[in-house]
Amino acid sequence: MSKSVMELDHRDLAVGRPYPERADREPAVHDRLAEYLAKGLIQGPFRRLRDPVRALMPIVEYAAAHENALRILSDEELRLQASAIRAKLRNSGFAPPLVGRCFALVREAATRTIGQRHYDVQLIAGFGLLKGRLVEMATGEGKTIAATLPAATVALAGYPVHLITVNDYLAQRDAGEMRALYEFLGLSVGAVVQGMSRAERRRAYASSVTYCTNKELAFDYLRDRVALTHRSSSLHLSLGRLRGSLQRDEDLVLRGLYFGIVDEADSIFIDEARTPLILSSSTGAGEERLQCEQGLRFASTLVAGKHFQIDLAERNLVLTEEGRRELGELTEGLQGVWSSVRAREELVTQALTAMMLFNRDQHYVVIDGKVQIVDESTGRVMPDRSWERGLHQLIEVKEGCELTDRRETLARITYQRLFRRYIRLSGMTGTAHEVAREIKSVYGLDVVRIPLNRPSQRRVALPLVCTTSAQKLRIIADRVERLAMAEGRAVLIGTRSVGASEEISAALNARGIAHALLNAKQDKDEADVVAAAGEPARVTVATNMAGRGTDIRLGAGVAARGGLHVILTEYHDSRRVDRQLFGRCARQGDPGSCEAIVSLQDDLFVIHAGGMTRLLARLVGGGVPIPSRLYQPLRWLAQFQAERRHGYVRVQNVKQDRRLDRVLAFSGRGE
Amino acid sequence: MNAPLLSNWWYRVAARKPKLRSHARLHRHIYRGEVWYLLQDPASSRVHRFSPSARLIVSLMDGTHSVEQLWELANRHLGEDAPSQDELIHLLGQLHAADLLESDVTPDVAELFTRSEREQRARHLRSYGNPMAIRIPLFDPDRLLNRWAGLVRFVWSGWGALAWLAFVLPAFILIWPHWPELSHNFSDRVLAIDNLFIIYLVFPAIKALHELGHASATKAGGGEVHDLGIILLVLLPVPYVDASAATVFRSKYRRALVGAAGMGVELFVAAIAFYLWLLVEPGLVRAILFNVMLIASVSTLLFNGNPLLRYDAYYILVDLIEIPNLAARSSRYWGYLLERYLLGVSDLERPEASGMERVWFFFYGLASTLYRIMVTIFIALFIAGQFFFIGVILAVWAVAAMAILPITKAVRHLLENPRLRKHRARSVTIAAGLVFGLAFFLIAVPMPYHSSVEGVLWLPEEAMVRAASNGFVHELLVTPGTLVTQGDPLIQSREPTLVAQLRRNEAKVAELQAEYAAQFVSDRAKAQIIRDKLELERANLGLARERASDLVARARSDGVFVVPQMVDMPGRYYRRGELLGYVVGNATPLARVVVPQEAVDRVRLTTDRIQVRPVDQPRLVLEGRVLRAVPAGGEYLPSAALGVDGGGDFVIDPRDAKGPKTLQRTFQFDIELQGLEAVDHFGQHVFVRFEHRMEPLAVQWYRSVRLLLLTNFHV
Repeated sequence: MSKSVMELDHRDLAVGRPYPERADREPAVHDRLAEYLAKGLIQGPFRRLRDPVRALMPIVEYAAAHENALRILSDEELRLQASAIRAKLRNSGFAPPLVGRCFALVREAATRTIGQRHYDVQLIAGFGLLKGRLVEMATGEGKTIAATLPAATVALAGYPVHLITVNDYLAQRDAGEMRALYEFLGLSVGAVVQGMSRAERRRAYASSVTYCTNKELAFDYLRDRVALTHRSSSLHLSLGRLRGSLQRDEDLVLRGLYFGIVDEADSIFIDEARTPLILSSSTGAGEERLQCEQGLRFASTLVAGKHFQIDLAERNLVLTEEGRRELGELTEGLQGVWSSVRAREELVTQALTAMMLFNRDQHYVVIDGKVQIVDESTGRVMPDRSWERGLHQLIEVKEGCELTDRRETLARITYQRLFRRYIRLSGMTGTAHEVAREIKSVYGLDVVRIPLNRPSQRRVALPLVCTTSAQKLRIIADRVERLAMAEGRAVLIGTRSVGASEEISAALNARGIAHALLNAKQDKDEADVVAAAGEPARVTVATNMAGRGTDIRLGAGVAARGGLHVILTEYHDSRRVDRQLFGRCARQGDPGSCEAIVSLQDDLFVIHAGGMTRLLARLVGGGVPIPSRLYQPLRWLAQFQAERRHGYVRVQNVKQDRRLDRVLAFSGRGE
Repeated sequence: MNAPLLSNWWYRVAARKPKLRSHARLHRHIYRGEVWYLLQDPASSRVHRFSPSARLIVSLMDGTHSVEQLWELANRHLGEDAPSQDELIHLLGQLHAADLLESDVTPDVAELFTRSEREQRARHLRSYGNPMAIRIPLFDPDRLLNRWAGLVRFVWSGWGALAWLAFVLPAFILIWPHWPELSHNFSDRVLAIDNLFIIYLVFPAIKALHELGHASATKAGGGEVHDLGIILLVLLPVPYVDASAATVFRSKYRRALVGAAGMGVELFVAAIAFYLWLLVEPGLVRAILFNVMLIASVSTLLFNGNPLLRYDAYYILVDLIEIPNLAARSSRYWGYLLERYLLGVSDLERPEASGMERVWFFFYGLASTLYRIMVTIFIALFIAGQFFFIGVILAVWAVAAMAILPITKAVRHLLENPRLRKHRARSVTIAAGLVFGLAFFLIAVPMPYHSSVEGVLWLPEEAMVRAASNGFVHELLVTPGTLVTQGDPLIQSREPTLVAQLRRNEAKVAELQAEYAAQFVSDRAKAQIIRDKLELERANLGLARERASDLVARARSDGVFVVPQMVDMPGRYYRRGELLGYVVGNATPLARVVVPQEAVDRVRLTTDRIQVRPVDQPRLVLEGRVLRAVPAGGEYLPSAALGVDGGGDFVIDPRDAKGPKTLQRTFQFDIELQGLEAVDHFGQHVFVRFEHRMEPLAVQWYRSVRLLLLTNFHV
């Protein structure tokens, strides 16, 4: 047996696990210091002189060398070539000449099957991915197809490959579109989406290349961990098999964390890494409805500022001394949970949180009498997910829904931990350089920026900042009327929450503008809506569901009229997400334009830069004209504050992981 | 604060059945009326302190209750005092980290290894991190102590105490009559080179007895002692023992006794040495006894007897006032005070402590910090003064440990502590403001700057009576001690050759006068020549007469005529310019000061004001003015009083017989004193303070460091 797995030394593999994955090892202080010195002081200046892309360039030559020879082969001969290269890849590793040959093979196969030939920059990107880099490609430059190169190469070497993306729609679409290519090369493809059974999942993960979402992957990983409880090493499994109890083996769905290519890496590595993934099961013991109702009733009598302090930016809420006293008086004489000071304060704090910090159609939607959590970064509903510690039940009572069972945590993991366990990890995104440092320090990925294939034709208009939300809606409707109705262009309006998308939809309806609405409540025909979004005079209002990864193809004649126009109606917490939405237009050399129409009443401004926003609002109200350039610092400040807070949470997550490893060591290793 | 009752990580522990390892022992203690439980781990000789509610949970950890059950039980029994789930997890983690927990599952082995590595590293750092105290463990003395258990118990019983008193008290009483012998020329004897060598040999032996005292007292109280070794304290080997087993003694006096045992033994040894010292004739043995006495009494009381240092007295104090961890809790309390009142973080939780404890924390924290800083600076300076190179390295190390480390910690705390998060901007602003304020003060605010030198009171020139020409003193024209006025003849000298010369000149003049008179009529031209000769001779005669009149020394000012050596003066030969006596009168005296070369530059260039204090009237401060400055450096002092032997600062070259020659060059200044009427005693010391132009402290310090490096390294 070789001493290494995918060029990773055996000693760096985690012990006591059912399948191969990298050990999370915290580098010692001196290692970190040495790395900092080497990376920061020595490589830093050199990197400025020498673009890291240059190191990847030779792959283009290596691939080109085989191109003509492969082109004249028949399909059958090409397949033979593909199976011949397998053993070489497995035995001699991923040496550039061999990888070049493999890439040429994949490129030729792609030309014949899906009719798309990889561009040279995509070869470079693919090689970067294979080397475990974070590849930054501009939006619409064909990341999906670039990822097939390393995926096929590693899969041909016999290692399971996971292509991880942000939502089911993308996972299914990408798996479907690339299936022909992989199958031509003799590789199987699977896709894991919500609602699949364990058997289906196991089948999907057993494929050479598996397309999945970050959430599904994390939950499958956690389920595997829980299924095996504590006797979980591969040695235990083998012993079990010897004893003939195959059943335990059947519990597993994954085959190991070998090679992960993370699409939209900044979203997964950064934006989603704030909340840990929690696998829970129903305890059966339902929360008492009466208790929740009482809690909400008491909470509603308390006054903000007097009885409790609320911090929207940090999203937390504390009772004041007076609030506690008031609560003591309110609950005087009551039995059960109300007789304990700590328990009642906790319950009322949760009730207040449910009332003040969680808004319908923003943080959750109510569908069919059920409270469903909306994922802020993808804009999608997360079924079967619930908030912890009774919060979910309180919100259900608040919305008058049927109470669900209280859930009990079985396992939890942060993305920071999960992805570091990949033996080889790489990522791709359109927006990485703002967070390159954090990704490097947490996941160890270096960022490589790939040059553009074709120059972008995107026109970015100056942002328009309105004073009130009503004004914003009016201007958006005006703009849509002009662009879609009069000019016949396609328009995409991006919103941050379900509620906001419905407001805009209502405003458009009032003007009689026909449009499609895509949000967590209206997600039935997502694929059709997206497919039609590029048609002439088509107006689409969407939450972040139509953000990252969505490829809107222009309808006939739209390109001539100026392509797709994207309107951003509210800035996101980070500039990257804004850029992602703008990235929906002007893809792959098409024309397109985008603009931001926001208002000073937007949450981002009010919560994260309250003082400055109020000042500007007062100035504008007093008739002082504010040039639109002046709003840039406001946006910068608000987004900086929001990012800083999120960054803090992420750092705390990582630190807490480490701390808990120490504190909870007695309970065995686990998630 | 409302910490949540439930924990997100509860699922990881809820089903575990923890069990306290069987060798751990619980002890019930009462500190200041509150019950606490000490959990002792004899294997690692560590002791952990728990509150009663934690103790309840710990005592339920018997491997049959799951953590979930533990929590339920705790809630049932403790009510509002029950810990939250996070606190319970933390408690379990603590026990695990102390290796006191067994669980029904295999713990994370990787974590065990990392932790042991980390602990070993920390141990090494503790041992070798501080160059002033390198710790080397040697062996386990427990078996040895067990063998002597009977004796040990006797020594630390009431009988032992009586015997101790019987020995030590008489010694104390006998010290009084022998005090002069003991203290005579104390510093000379102690710091002499050969004596330092004796101290170096005697010190470890005494300290070994000291540590044996701790160890045996621990044993007598029922504890075990498993670690004995040596600390290289500033390169001096000092033994130590680990007497932490004494922490669990129920009686606080018993605990304090263990702390005091070392000093007790030393005083006992000192008493024995004292008795022997009385009996033995002077010699090497007596010198050794003297040093034993010195170390075992003075030094131990100075260091071990000082509760501000973390030595014996600290532990005695902690035991007696029943505040365990006084030092750590004081600094935590001070951290709280600073954050709360300096940085203005309002939502902080005050460290749990009673009012009296807070008073202790406040004063102890302040006093011990200041004292430690002072002692470190003092030791560093002392060593730097003795061995410059090593001293500088040690001083830098000490500064790093005392200043840079705490500052880095403070900065990290300021930037990373989650408690300060919401107040970060403000805290950082205040802290930065303080730092910049301090920097501004040091760099920009001029501060008084002065150099102090020594000098002697000196008479002004006109008060000196000097021999104006060479000659033998014939007689005193004025009785010494009487009042004279300016111009009064004082001393008559004689010079026989001068008399003869005078006569010869007079005769020559007479001869030439006669010859001139004779030639005037006969030969006019010749007469003219003789006349010229005559003029010459007359001039010569005038000169001789003048010199003759110089043989009478006169008073140049009014005052009392004083002659230092009246009796042997007549008949003695004095050279021209030699001092014959003084006329002490109203003429204000001078201060002649000697400025070492490193200070001469600032004295010459930037002196604004000079203040002089004579040694006999310390309260009197005189204004001065530079009268003369000798531009070239000299090697001789104007008075032996300025040398080390005379009580001054300058080291004198003993090989030079000519006079007090200094080892380094000096410069002399004469300072005219204003406001001093008359002085009776000349040659006495004066302290002179040159006040320079005000300069910021940073500039002043930079200059002295620069000078220090220049003199020692020529850089």
